Amino acid sequence: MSVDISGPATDVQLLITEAKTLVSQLYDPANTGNPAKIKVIQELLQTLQKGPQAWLVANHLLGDESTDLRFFGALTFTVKINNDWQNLSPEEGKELLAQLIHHYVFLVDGGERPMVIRKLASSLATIFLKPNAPWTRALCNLAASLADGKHLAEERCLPLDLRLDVLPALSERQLTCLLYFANILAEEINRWTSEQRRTREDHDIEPNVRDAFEIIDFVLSHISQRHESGIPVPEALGTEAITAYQAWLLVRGSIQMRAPVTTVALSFTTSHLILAMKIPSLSKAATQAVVDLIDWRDSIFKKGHLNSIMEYIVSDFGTSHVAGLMESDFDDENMSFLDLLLAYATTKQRVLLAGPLDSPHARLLTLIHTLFRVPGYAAVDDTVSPLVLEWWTGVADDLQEIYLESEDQGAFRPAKQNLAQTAMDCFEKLKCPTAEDLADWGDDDRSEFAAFRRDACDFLLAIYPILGVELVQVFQEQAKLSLAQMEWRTFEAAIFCLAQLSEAVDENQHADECLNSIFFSPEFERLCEENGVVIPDKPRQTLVDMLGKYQSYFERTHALLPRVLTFLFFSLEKGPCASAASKSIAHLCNSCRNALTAELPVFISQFEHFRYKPTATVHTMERVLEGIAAIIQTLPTDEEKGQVLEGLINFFVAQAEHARTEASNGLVEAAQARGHLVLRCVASIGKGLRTEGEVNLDPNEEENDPYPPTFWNTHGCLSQQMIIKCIHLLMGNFPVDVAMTEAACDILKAGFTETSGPFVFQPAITVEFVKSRPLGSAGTDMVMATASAFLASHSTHPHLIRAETTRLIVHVYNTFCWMIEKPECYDPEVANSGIDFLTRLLPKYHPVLFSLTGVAPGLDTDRPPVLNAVLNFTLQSLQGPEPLPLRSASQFWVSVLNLPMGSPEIQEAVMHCLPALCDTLVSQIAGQCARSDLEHLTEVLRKVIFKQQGAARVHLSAALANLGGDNSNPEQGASSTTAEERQRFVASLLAARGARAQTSQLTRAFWIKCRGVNFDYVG
Amino acid sequence: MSLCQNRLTEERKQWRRDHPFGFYAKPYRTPQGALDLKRWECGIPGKSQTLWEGGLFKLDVTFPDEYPTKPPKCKFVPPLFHPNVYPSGTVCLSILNEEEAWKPAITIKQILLGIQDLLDDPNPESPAQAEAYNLFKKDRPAYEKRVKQVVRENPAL
Repeated sequence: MSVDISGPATDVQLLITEAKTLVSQLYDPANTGNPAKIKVIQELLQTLQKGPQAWLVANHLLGDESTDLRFFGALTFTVKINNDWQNLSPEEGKELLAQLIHHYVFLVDGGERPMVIRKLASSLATIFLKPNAPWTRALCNLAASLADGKHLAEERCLPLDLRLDVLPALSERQLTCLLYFANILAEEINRWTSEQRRTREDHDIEPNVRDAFEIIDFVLSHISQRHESGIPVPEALGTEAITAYQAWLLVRGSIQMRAPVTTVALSFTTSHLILAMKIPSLSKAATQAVVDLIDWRDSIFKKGHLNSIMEYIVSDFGTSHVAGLMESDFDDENMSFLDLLLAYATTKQRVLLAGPLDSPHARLLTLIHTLFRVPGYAAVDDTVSPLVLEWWTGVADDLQEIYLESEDQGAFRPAKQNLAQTAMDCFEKLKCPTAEDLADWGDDDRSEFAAFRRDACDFLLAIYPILGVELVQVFQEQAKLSLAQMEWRTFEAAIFCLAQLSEAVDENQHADECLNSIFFSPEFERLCEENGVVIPDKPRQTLVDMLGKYQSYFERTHALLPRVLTFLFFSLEKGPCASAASKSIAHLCNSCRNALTAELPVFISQFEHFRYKPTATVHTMERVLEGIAAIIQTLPTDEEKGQVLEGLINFFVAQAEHARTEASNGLVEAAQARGHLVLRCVASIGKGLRTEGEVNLDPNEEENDPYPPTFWNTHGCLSQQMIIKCIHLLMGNFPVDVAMTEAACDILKAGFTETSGPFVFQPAITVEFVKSRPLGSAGTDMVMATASAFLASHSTHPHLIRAETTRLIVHVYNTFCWMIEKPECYDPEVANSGIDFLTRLLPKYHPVLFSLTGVAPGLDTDRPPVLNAVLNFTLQSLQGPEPLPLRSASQFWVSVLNLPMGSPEIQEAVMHCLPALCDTLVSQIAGQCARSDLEHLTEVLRKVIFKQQGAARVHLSAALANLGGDNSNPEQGASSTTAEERQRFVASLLAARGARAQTSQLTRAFWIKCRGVNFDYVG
Repeated sequence: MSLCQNRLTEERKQWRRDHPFGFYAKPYRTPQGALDLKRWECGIPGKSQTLWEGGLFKLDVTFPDEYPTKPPKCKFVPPLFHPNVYPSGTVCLSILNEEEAWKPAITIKQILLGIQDLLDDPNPESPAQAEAYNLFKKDRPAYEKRVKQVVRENPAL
């Protein structure tokens, strides 16, 4: 062929031999385990496929005896066409096409394997889709060539009628292979993006769409006839035609046609497709195609088609599929039928629930209900129920919309009846496995079943608006009855359903009567008191969860609280229930504390029993104690509170001492675990003791003592001493871990919102605690956050704790100095938490900070003055590279610049720092900082410009002028900007006057400019 | 229906048809039971053979009116101990940032899988909370201990 690029024949022969060797090595089983070798072979073959001689190699290989080589030949054509088509002249293109069609016809007639034919079809499709391809009616031309036994020039096909002259002359095999090409061509067209479709107007696909439908209709009607005559149907041909129908319908929908193929024109083809569902060998493919077409909602189905589908569903064919499903036969045919049934039912969902129904539709509805009764556990043994449940949920969502807007709610009676029945069917499916069955389940089974229950919850919430309280009533009756009979699986499912409905009814009291009827029953009382009723773990767990979801109900039904809390306390001892039970105890005791004062002794004794149980973990204990402490808070006098607290905390003091003994015996882990438990429990007592609602820290009150005398720091100080003892025992000379530090901080913070109480400590306690933590230990951020919270708690009278504030600032100063003096000890956490502390104190305590212009009193005089050192440290932190100190330093400077500039100390300090601050900001924004740092630095820049406009112009210009000189990488960095660009940058920044969006945009653009466009996400 | 609603309806359909094992994702319902397509409740399981295995973490995904032009906001509820999760629970991830790698073609499935990947592979370049970040950087055993505790508090089953 003339597409041959000239070259010595011997070279081509060598290449062919090489290709043959490589392909045989590629498929050699000996190499399958050697991916490295396979990779090398593939790379060599790819080079060969792109080489100038590839046309000849491909052509030769297609005629080889080995299938692998013929396949490789076809593949090489595709690669070569993709790479080199544009280099061929129109004549060469035509010749190549003729050659390929010739091969196609020859290989089809020679009985070639589908794999090779499809690959060659793909080469042909690639040609067809090339711009200016010499091919218009590709399908017709290929069909005529197949009929003629050789390549037929396209002009010679023009007088032929595809349907009458060409297709009848093709064998079934030829038709099948023609459809291979049709399918691949459609796939390729469907892969085009809408953009490609718009720009490929040179391509006339339209005649091919018509030809494709002609071929498909011819084949499907041929198959129908054969089936009706009782002749076996060729499966491969039928399947290809069905696939082709879907694929070309997609093409039809996606391109603009001058004369569109109407659905009416396709009506017969569609009918054949529906009929094909009855042909056993094609049933699955045809059913899936019908389902897809229904889902498209493309109105391809006319009324007659829908009736045929309906008839099929309720016919013996359908019945046998349903029977199969009911016998747990979930093979593909049966599952495809289920998809069909549900897809069809979706198109009729409003009709189905409007009633009365004709007999086929009534039957359809019955089938849907029946399918919820496939035996076995949903999603584990029964794959049908989850799909049916999903269908009902969709129906309920749709119905809800029209129901809420409808004036005639009586019309919804049939819908309600059906939904209620489904709820009951679903209820049966929600019952948890018996212990025996559960033993055989793997994690996947549990997870699938749990997912089904989650979906069921969604369904219940979807039908509640339509069914209302009646729905709750159904489950209430189930719960009551099963409780009386101790039918635990039913009880669990009913409680589960009630729990899911809590979202809809807990707040609004609609279901209170239903809930009363369960919870006031003598059976429930016996259950709570464990009086002759032993509830297994699973229903207990569900009940505990459910009680947690009806908090509003119990809050307004105080009479139930004692029994419910007793039940929850008992449940604390059961592993799977402990966590949820402790959570509910904490919540109910907290929100109903005033109704529970009288129960306190009982609860404390239940706690004392519980604290030695294996389920008494940090997690559960702290919640229970928080609840109990909330009730203690309601005792009428401080004396009574103190007495109960002393009893409670005494246990933890003993535990803290025990932890110390463990630590001194080298049992570090045990000691830490015990210490952590103690501190967390004490902290949660503090949390529970907090008074309800807002505490009035009255700013107008005349005060001159930040720590006025109260019961708790005078004659009732024992509980406070015990708390402090716990902290001292566990934080001093003890292997403290980060969790313990956090808990100790929580103890201190517990009293910050209170005016009086055992957790309201002398200010020095917090300051000493902060200072005592070793530098660099994990948890520094929590310690410093506690220091900030401490200052915040005194923010109505900063002047009264000036000394403490100074000590805290000096502490931070010391840590900064220490890190500057010993750079190897630099710790970003210490830096970040220190700067953050300073930032937080600025609004109320800035006079203290800005007055520290000298060296720290009584400290090393070699060190710089406090304010200077602190400000310098924050400036250094702005230079990175650590992200957190950089951010907190940015925040610090934003806050400093926001301070009132009336104070000379502040003004002087700011003026002093401004040149260095501008230098740092500019060099960072000029490509030095990380992208994620940019927004933080920009915030500072905005403030500089907005608050110090005059000075900003000078310092920013100077900083920009200094840039670039020492840049080590001129390819990347500020030196990639010109002096003009920098000036424009400053001018634009100043013109923006600190406006957020504009300034961000400017800095981002400048940063990208300095970094190089590769760093632009969009670019 | 708006573009946002259309896309979310399609996302819901796709999710039901095919979603990764152990995950869940569904729109919230209003107290009246109606679907609120712009707020989804999702669950992300910890990857097997990582520290996070066995945990299931609840995530609220909120879609803005401009979705899919703008990305949804993903927030762990309750907030999660993780270097790239803000103290509020909001996830810091490039594909969720309009100015970074968000693309309208990103599906809910890809988002949730992306967040699952992030769990065991935090990005120390963009810390979002000091607590987890500091421990991750300087006390890895304490970090891992804490993660294990988080997993225990959020069991998958």
